[in-house]
Amino acid sequence: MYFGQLLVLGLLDGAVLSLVATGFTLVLGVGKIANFAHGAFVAVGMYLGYEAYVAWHISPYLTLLPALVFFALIGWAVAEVFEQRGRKVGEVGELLVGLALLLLINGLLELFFTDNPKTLSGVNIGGVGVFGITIQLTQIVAGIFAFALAGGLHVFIHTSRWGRALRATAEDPTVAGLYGVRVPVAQRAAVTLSIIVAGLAGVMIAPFTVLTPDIGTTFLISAFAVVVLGGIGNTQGAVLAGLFVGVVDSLAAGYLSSYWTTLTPLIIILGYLLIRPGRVTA
Amino acid sequence: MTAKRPFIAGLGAACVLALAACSSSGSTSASSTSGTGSASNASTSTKSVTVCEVTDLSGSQDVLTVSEAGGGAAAASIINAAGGIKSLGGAKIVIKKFDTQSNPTMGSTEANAAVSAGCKAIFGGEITDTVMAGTLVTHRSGIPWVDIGGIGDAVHERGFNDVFQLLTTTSLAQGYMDELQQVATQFHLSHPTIGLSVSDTTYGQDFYTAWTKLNSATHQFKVVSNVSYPLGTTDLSSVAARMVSQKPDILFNMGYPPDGIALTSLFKKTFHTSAVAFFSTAEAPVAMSQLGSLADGQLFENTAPPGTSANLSAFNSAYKTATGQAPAIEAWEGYTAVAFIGAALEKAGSTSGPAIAAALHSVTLNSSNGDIYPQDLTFASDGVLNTPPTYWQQDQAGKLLFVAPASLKQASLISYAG
Amino acid sequence: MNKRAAEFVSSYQGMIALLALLVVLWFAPSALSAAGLSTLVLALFYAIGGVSFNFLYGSLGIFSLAQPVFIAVGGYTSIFLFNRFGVSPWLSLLIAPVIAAILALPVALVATRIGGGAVLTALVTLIIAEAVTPILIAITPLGGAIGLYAKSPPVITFGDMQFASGLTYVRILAVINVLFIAFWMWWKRSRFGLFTAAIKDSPEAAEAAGIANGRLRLSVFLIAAMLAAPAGVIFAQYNLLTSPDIFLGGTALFQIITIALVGGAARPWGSLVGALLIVYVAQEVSNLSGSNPAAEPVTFAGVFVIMVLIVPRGLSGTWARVVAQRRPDRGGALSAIGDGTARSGSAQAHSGTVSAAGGTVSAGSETSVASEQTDAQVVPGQTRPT
Repeated sequence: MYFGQLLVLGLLDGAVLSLVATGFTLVLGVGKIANFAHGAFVAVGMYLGYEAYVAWHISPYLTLLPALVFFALIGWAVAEVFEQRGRKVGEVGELLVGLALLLLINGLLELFFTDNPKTLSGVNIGGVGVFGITIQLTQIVAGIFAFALAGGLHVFIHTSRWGRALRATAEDPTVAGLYGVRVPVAQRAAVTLSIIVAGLAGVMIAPFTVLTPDIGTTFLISAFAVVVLGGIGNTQGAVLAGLFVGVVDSLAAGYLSSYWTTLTPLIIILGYLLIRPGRVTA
Repeated sequence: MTAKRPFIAGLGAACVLALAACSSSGSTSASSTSGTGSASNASTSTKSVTVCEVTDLSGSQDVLTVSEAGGGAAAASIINAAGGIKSLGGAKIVIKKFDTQSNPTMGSTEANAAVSAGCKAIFGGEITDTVMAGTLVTHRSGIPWVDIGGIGDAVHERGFNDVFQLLTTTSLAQGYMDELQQVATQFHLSHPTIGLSVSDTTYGQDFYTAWTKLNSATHQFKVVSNVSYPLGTTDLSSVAARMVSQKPDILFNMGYPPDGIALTSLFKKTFHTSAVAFFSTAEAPVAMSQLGSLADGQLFENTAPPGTSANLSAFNSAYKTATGQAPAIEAWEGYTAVAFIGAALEKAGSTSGPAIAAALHSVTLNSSNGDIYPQDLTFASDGVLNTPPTYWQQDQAGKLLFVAPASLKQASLISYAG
Repeated sequence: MNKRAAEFVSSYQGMIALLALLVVLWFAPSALSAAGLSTLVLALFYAIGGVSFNFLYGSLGIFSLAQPVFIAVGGYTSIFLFNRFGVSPWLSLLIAPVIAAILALPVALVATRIGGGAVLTALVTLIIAEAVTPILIAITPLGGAIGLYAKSPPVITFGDMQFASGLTYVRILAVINVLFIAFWMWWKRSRFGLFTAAIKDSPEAAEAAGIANGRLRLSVFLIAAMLAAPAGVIFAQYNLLTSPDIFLGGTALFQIITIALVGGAARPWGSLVGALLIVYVAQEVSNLSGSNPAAEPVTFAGVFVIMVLIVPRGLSGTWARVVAQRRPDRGGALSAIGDGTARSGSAQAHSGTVSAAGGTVSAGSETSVASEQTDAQVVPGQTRPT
């Protein structure tokens, strides 16, 4: 029973993690940019959902559409900045941009919402009983949404023309360019897409997650570990690894201690290094 | 020749920067004073006494300190309106504020600033580490500090005779223990079991140690599950799962107020516990507004003074004037700290730090000198307040009712499980 | 002045300038109020952390977010030994770096194995740094989440490193800062500096030239860790407490690198300037905003953003560029424009190998320009000045 509870909760957590990781693997594998602020955009989505509900009583599900537009615009702008700085100053430039964004978003969130954890308990659409606990429908919906989006992305990348362009860009930008792919556009599109995904994920999990301004860093670390496990650029891997990590985290926290959730990403990275001592490449 | 110029120039720039910044740093840190009863930089006037509030005015603890500051300001305004400190020729209390930014590394910085600004006594503090660092500075300068929110026992265990605490984790734990015993009695629990969770922070670990020490005297309560979680854990679902897994009679969270709120949400929506009581440090107004009906049955410790004494009415109106709101959270503690300092100044008749500290040890706060509680208050020899006031309330169908102490009881306890 | 005399003088210019800095930092702060001294202590503390980071980053391009861990090692070692065994913190100034180096070994191995460039190293070191907190808390003798409070002895002696005034702490930190800057200056001029510049430029070529890449990388990492530890020792003694939150808390993790990067890795004094700038700016913003909740993080973030958009190489890096551009034909700088031939001495940059690694690049300090990033593209057959 207890195990079942942990398992279900872990799967649901893992679904969301999968989505965040899919976005990250996109930006890392296709955009070739390690966006340090990726997790921070999830946080922005969360606070967006929270604010919309608390200030204007708009349910997070209705917020999704405006959020889509919002993150698309922001995403494109961010991609531009990465492009500019990254190409000019080299790889370190993109790291600096990512860090700057992370710090800025954390700081602004703290400025507007303060450090106090916020809970959005009002969104209640019922629940499903299983293993002696009631799983909130908000969580299930978020999980389904995550799967659908990640799956959709995967299909998009592997079957559509645009998707092929993105994959080609990921493999070899120069050659892709020779084949007529507008590489800069493709890369920007990947970055924008990843930010949209991150933001929407945030909106969806707002109803059942406790919000703090620096939760972005936590998401970044988890997403990175999942991406390393699943393979950089591999959207399918991101989903599977996300579920796996979600379940492992839940079981570890439930049977051992909550500390293991902080240590899990490290163990994954170390394990990866031990098993495949080569470099972490796309 | 090649290395010289750029380096020297860089060096010169650094020096200029340092010195320019340094020369203006005399005016840093001392932020403006609070609402009523305060004027700007009055420490040169002979008819005023500077009392400083060194606390976390910004950062994660700022929610607490707004009310603390308001309470302090209210106390000062009441004292000043009544003629100030008569033994000092009617000197008015002037409050200056120093912000430690919820960051323990700022403790010594701001304490130094306060000392430089001529503070005769200090009150405030939310984080134990910050107060530890700050009191080291103030003790060396002989300036007494009445600590409000930095409740770690370590603060007074150093044995400084000029450090006072309105509340310590031991007294906090005692308050919880008393109420636990009431719950056990009311619900006829002969061998009450507890599902425990502890926030792994200074405060949480202190709380746990203090409470366990109290429990080990009689072993009355059996802890059947014990889970600790790191600071910053926002997903408490596994914590909640573990807490209820052994089906304990009582659930007990030794963490921060938001943890209590998050856990209630989980217990009520997801885990359906059969426990008769849930103890946490959540605050009633916040919990009830964020959770609505989910907060039914939740117990809240309240330090708001009950009753309608004259001092309390005076305080309520002074607080309203100072902040535009009704007192909440730490308003009463802020008031009490300054009231104590005022009483000590009155008794000592001097503004020397050691004299004030000695007076704080011997003075009694009662209805004649501004006590807003039904009982008299004194400090023990180790600087800790004797029997700090604690009152328990429970959310019963949306109404917040007193359930303890007996003198205030409005209703019997109802079961958390509903 | 003839050439040899000029070289002699120039190689000592830096040292003289450093001494001047030390004198300023020794005497000037006595004019400060206690509050000003506290702020200066904070700034100097950050500066040392920044040196640790920039040493690693400037020499080898390794972006390590794990430096706060080694600072924490300093703090914990000092107070633990002080409480348990009465070991003077002065001694810990020597002991802590050793422990930091030992603990840095596994971190270095992981960080250098990851490859994939600065970003992945940054991510991995961030993960390591975040993972240290729970590990630290689990080790009970180290005080758990509470940390350790140093005992305040009844009679304070010099050996306890507890002083009534912050001025002494300022002086101690100033001396350490100056020593570290001097060390870095020496390093750059030494063959180690040339080796690391070579590795940074082209690891394969350096390996081919006989430089022990792996060992040197590890050594630099360990040295950087050893540079970080004393900062923790002094700071812990100043506050008389050490806890995971002080050194490894959310904002603390990023403060060091903000200062390091704003200061820039091109010059050893970069972190000092960066630290002074940011700490005082943050103070002013905090005062101006009254008690605004997010003053500090927003200030740090804001300065960082400005730096990224306008001066991505940090203050000292931009300074170095300004200097290099003003005097393109002097000083043996491996010119950033053109074909990468050094103009003075006999440093010839051939196809991809800094063949001067053997020591004929005698234009000592200007070689440091080579260790910062420029815009020059890598063209096969020519050296890219790093």
